[in-house]
Amino acid sequence: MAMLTDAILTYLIVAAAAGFVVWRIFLPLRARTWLRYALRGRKAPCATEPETGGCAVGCSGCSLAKVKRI
Amino acid sequence: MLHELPVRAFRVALVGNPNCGKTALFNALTGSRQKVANYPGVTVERKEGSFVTPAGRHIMAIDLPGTYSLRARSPDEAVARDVILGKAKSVERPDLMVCVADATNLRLMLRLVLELSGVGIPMILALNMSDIAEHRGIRIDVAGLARELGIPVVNAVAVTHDGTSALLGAIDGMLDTIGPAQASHWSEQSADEVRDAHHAADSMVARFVSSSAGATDWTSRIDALLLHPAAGIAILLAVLFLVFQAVFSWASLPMDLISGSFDALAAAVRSVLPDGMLSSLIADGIITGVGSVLVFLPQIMILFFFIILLEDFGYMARAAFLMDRIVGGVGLHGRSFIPLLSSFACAIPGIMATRVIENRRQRLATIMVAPLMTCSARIPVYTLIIAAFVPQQKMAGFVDLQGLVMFSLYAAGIVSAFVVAFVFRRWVWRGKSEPFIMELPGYKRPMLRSVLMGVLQRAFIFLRRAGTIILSMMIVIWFLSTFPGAPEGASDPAINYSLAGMLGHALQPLLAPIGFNWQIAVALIPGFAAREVAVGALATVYAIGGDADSLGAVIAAQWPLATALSLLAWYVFAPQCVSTLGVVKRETNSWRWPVLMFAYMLALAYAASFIVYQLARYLGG
Repeated sequence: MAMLTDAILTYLIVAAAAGFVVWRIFLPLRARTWLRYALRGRKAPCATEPETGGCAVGCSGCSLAKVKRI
Repeated sequence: MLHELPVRAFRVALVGNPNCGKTALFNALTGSRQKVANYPGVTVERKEGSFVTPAGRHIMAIDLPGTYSLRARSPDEAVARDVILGKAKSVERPDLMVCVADATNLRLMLRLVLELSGVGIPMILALNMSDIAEHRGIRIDVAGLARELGIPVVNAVAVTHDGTSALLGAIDGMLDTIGPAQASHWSEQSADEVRDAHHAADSMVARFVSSSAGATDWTSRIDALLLHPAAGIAILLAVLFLVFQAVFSWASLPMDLISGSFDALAAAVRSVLPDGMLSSLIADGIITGVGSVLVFLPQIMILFFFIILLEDFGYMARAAFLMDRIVGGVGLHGRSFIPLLSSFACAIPGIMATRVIENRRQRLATIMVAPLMTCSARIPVYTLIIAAFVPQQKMAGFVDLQGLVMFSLYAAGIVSAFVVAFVFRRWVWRGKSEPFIMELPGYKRPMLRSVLMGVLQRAFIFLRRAGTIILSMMIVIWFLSTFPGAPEGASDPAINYSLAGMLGHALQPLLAPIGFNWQIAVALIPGFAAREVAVGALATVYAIGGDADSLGAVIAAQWPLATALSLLAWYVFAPQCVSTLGVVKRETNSWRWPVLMFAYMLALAYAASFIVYQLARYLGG
């Protein structure tokens, strides 16, 4: 039983991490916006907000890598 | 039943010359923390924030890139012009403009105010940095200026908490009486009109501004030394050299502490959790992988401390001026220096900062070489290899050898950027270079609070990145390095049979001529998403492979020196950042340039690594 719990927890963590990597790196902003809206049961707006930072994975020194609209 | 109507926010645009403190004022009004620095060209796109005035009005503030005129010669100036004239698609025309002026240097702003008076939007003139002006003995007849311009004029000090109260009062006062925006009567000024506007501005400065000569003399004396063609360059090199010495010397203690903490944490996890997949995932994948990247946080903070300090002091603008001859010599624009400088943090803001360059060919050339500047994501890779292979000793009693190697790698990035720019400008984007005109900002005493805030902000960005994308990638790499397990009776380490092992072994023949083993091949793949992930990936691969020592000790024992040098050469040139390629596509509106960038950088990286590896082997490394 302990081994099963161990395996389930491990696979869950790996699946979540893989999902996050795909979301942040491989999905373009248009697809992410569409998905976000679809999950809330709403239709995505026609024109998405421009990706001001242009950086899918963030960066280690860029002040542009954050949301501009406060 | 009454329905409360939504409150309409007034739109207030901050307009002004470059480096007059618009973003500092924007931050002060909205509580935002956008990047500010003491040189022109920091803001290249509009930023929005909101605040509430003392009278309870909701205001949407728009921070615009600096401009000297609405004639808009570069893309960043076009952003400002389009918003002011109501031509921007995604933003409504402002209800009010706050013209932000550097109180120590009013002339060009007054000329812009005269031009803006024709666009049909009410204005307030905010004399920012009025405390510095007062300190320098500059006296401004605020009432006289207001009378002459026919608009409210207020003093402001954007970097202090109470420096904006007069401005907020003036905004409320203006909004009490504001009517609908009038139609714009602006049209591009003729040469005669520009000349007349300059004369009018000169006349106003002569009548309403008086100053003592002492401050100017002091600035001139410092500039005579710092901008001297020979002494200035020597001082610049010495400053950069000292910064890298400090990065290595000061960071060693906190790095040891962080490293020790993660080792202890991994050991604690192994002792608490039963042996199994979860224990290996947390200890080998998460703690070892993320810890091996986080250990470089002190070096990144020290480097940015110095960069922000020098920016605030006003030295970086002088560095741009000093470098103009070199930068211009290779065919780049003098304004290219600031984007290249920004690229030391990350190539993405650097590439975006090229919007200040008017000439398209020079802009493209700058974009293409910006990723060759050493971004902070390379620091973990460089530091790991230098610490493992370069002895920690002093040369001539005071020069730290490791710091010297780091300095050389930065220099290699700069030199290669200039060489590549020269090649592009000579054979791809031929054409005359345009002269560089930049207004040098005044020297300012850096405010420790603002410097520390900037450093903490960058540290937070690094930590957030480590806690999100790097953490996730480490987990995925752990999975790829663990599954499938070794078959029954296998004698090799289990990782050799894993997906990562198979991938690494498949790629290794391609990388053998440059001395990379299969572990490096595995680490290079996630490194394409973000360079520093390669360090965490190496740590995970070796940890799962059964190497319990620290990553530095493991690679020092297993890699020949030639491989280490080859990997350093690879990282000077390699196009290992998909985000950079994405932003190049966006900025150039074409796939041609990111593809060219990827191809030339990959070719350079392979060639450089090949030469370094073969030469080092020939010399016995």
